[in-house]
Amino acid sequence: MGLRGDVSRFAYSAIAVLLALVIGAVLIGTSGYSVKEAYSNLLMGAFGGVYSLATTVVMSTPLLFTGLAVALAFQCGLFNVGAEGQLYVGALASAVVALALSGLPPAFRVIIALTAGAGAGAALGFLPGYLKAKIGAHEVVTTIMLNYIAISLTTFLVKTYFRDPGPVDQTVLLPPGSRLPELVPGTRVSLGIVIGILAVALLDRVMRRSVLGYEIQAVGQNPHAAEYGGVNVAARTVQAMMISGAVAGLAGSVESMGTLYRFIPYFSPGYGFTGIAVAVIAGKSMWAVIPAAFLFGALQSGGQSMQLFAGIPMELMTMVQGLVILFVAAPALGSMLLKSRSRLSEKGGGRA
Amino acid sequence: MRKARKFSVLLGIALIAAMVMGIGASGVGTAAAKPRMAIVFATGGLGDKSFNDSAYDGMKRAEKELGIEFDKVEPQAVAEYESLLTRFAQTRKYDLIISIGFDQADALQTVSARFPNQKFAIVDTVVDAPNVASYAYREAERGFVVGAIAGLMTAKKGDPRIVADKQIVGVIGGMDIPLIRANVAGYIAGARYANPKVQVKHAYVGHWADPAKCKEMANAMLDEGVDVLWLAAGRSGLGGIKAAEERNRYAIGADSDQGYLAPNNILTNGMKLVDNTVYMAIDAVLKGKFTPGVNLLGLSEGALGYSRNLVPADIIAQVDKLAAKVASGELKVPDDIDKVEPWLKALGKQ
Repeated sequence: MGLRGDVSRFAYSAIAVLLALVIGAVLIGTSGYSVKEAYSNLLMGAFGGVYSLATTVVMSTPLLFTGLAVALAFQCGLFNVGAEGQLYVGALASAVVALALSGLPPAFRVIIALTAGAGAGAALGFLPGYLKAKIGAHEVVTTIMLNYIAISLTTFLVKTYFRDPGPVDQTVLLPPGSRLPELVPGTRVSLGIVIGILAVALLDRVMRRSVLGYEIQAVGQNPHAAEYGGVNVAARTVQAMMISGAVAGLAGSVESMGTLYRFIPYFSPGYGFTGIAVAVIAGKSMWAVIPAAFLFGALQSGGQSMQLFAGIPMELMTMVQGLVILFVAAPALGSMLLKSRSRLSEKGGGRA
Repeated sequence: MRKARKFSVLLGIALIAAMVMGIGASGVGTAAAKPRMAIVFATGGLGDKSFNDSAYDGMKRAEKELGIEFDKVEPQAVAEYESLLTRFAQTRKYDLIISIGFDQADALQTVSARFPNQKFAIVDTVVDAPNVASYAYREAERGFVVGAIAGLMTAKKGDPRIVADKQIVGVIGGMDIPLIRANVAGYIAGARYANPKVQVKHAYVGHWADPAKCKEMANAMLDEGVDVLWLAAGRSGLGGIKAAEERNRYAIGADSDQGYLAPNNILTNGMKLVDNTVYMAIDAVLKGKFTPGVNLLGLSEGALGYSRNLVPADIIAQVDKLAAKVASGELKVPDDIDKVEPWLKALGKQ
């Protein structure tokens, strides 16, 4: 890897985003909408003004965590498709604990509730990790199955034990002291984004500077070689899935404690799955998760304005986002373009 | 290789720059002379054959008949409500911003406080703020209308879907909460008022989304001889409709026309006419009659009603007369079950 790899990866991604926007423009144009109006709203809705930027940050925050969770599992050669379920159990655990501790000082409440969310996510990550390590059950299958269980289980628990009296199935609203503090008043930008960036910094350090991180990467690159070298592959697999689950659980915690201020069944529009796309764009670097999450947050936030003021249907916006994923996830296309152009420039420069 | 990379990056930057400048030159559209409204749908989105579609119909009718323009948005997540409402409010160019559905209450509470000069309306729940008009329904009235249809229908002879000589009807509510109790009370009152011989059973599922349990309860009622059953139970009601279809009895749907679910067994539907509600909210603003607080709507405003589906013509005639009495205020429908018997006694219907 290193800087050179990062730069070329960034170039691929930039080209991919541009391609997606160009094809999106064709789609928008042929559907009879004004491309100029659509993209000016996309741009202004994502970056134009304090509220737009804040909304971009708010929408990036859960993706930062889920993206980090998936990227971390990638390092161990594991494909964690279960971030969505881990997010749900984390969100509920945090909301319930934050409500239960309303007697404690706010700082303690928040810290304990966040820990509960991470713990719940780690517990749900433990299962597929353990099954993979002990009986070789493929984590893609087990994590997908656990998503259904986690989403239905949290809904059941809310309806049965933690329901707000009223017509809606949801928990009681968190009192102000149980919420993540709002950093920019009136925007819902919460401490969550800071926690997310700290998590990236911490895990980057763990991965690059600690024995645990080194061994996890060794397992990811070649489990047999790692085992031969004395690494406890089963233990590292379980640990990687648990850390990944904990981070995904925190995604839910910051949503329930920092954005919604309560747990609402089915609240996630698929943050866990978008996290996979974020991790694919980020590649091997933990730090790259931040711009990747920001990109999706910006598309989401700008997409709001595109829908509100340019009248673009939600479906077209989702298609543009899908195109971004498609192009970025197919770096082969980008490298093909780069190669053909370098061949051209080599001919032109007469250096061959 | 390195040269090529630099070239592609430069190309990318140039493209972005070109785009941004092109956009900057375009400017913003001219100010519209027409009144402008905005609507934020519930997360189910358009195509739900229920609240959202109905609200959209109301907006389109207002566009045609009242000469307004409107912008709409379909949120993908509950977390989006607040930012969508804020973005609409920030422009300060909308005469009214409408929220559809009870799960926007949290977001609207926050946003309405932040924009005290912006008028908002919310349908199907109450948000207590000086700049929000909440539109809720006199639920008992629609219970009364479908109850009357049920009471008259169960006395019919020669229909294979009617159990002969029993005259028992039923209603299953989603949850035992005031809103649903009002529906049930209205239903009992309507059935007994229209047909004093009728016997009415009622029960609550305890969940909005448990069709299996609702089906079980429905079957128990059908076993007792119930032949017309109203399901005022959200998604749980689908189980009750299924039970009625399997046993070939009559079911009554709720909120929107659910006739397509069981064309031979859905007798009618207790309708919430969200389209009329939205239209009324807009009309009120245009006429300068925006009223913050709770606006209770019912039969007289055309916000509640029933659909004709399989209802025989003679019953339609009778029920329309009863509905007119309620609409005119001549009949005040009781809104809790305890009040039904005294109410019937006072009218000499017992």
